[in-house]
Amino acid sequence: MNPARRPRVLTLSPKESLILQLLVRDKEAYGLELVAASRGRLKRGTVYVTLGRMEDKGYITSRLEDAPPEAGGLPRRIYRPTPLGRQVLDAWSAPVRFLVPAVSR
Amino acid sequence: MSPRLRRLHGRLARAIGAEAMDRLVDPILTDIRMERRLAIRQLRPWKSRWVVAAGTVSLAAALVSYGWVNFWSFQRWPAEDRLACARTLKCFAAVTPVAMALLILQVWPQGWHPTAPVMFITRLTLQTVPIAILFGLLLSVLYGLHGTIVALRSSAAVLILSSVCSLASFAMLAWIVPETEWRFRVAVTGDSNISRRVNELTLGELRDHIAAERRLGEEPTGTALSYHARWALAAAPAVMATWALLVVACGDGRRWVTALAAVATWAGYVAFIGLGRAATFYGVVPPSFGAWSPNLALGIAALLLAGRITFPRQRTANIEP
Repeated sequence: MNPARRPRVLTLSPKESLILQLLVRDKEAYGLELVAASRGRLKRGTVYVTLGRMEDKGYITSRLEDAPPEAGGLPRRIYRPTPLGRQVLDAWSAPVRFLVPAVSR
Repeated sequence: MSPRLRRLHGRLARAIGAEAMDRLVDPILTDIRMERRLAIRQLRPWKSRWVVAAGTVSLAAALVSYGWVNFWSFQRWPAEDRLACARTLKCFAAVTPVAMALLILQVWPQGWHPTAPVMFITRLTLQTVPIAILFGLLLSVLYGLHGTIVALRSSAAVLILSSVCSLASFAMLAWIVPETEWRFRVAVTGDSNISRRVNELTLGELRDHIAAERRLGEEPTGTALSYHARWALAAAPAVMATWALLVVACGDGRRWVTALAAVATWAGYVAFIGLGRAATFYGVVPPSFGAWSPNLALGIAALLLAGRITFPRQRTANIEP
């Protein structure tokens, strides 16, 4: 990632938070899996833009998987959370868990 | 990958750059293809068609979203594009007032009226704005983007600027200039009950005037020409900016060619204004065609020029930070 792009203040939008939660739970996933796992909260048209932004922020990292034969020669991009991403998610989730105990259960 | 998809892939890669292709387009294309194959394997042809249609919409939405986000993060623009856009804006800010001043000086000796000096200057200044904007846009785009490879984001910035100019021109021509004209005449004559002339009517009043003339059985050639000319002049900045962008995109980087294009464009535009007016008054063409002929000529020339653009001139990382 280009360090110049990393924001000075670490922010986490609701969509980014959801993606991080899904990635922390599943270890790694590709875009369509995230869309399916979000149960309609993520859209295919915006998920890759959000993933790109999160990669710029250093919350996630990605690698190209070998092209599955059914994908017609195009490789899939697999995303996984970085330690920074996990920390940010923890930091943002802690106040929520404190304020809304039901969320933490 | 089918030949058609490969062609689309290549064009997109040239337009938005390798990184965006990697992160945005390729994953979506892979998703679409995998879902489609799955639907075909399950013998669900309609679902496979739906996957392609929905996937195409998603791809378009993703590209718009990506372009929008990248367009507004100026610090991520390549230095070349930032400099070119800054040069264009500075040139526009410098040329437009100079053009206004020159136009005012041209009219000043004949029209000066000592009884209402402030109204006279205000009226002249406002009158010159639409023409000065047009001239400023032409020169600033040709000068500001000269010698650069016109990126998608620079084009978008120029088109946004030209749209704002078009809106400003429209407000001027539709309401502000006619009202100032009438107020000036009231200030000079001291009579607030004088009836408005054609150039003092707002756009709505002009439309009503044309309808009234038609009801009386008169041919409203002059009034209709004035009405359509206001719309045409308001749209002109957008047309002029598009033309100038294409001239820069097709140009070979030689300064004298760009200067010649600027002179030829302006001379041609002014000539078409005169030709359109003359042809309308001689009854050769309807007022709408006469008024719009400069824009039409420029639009046709732009279309012809667009056909000459070769894609390899585009920088590979066009939207790339």
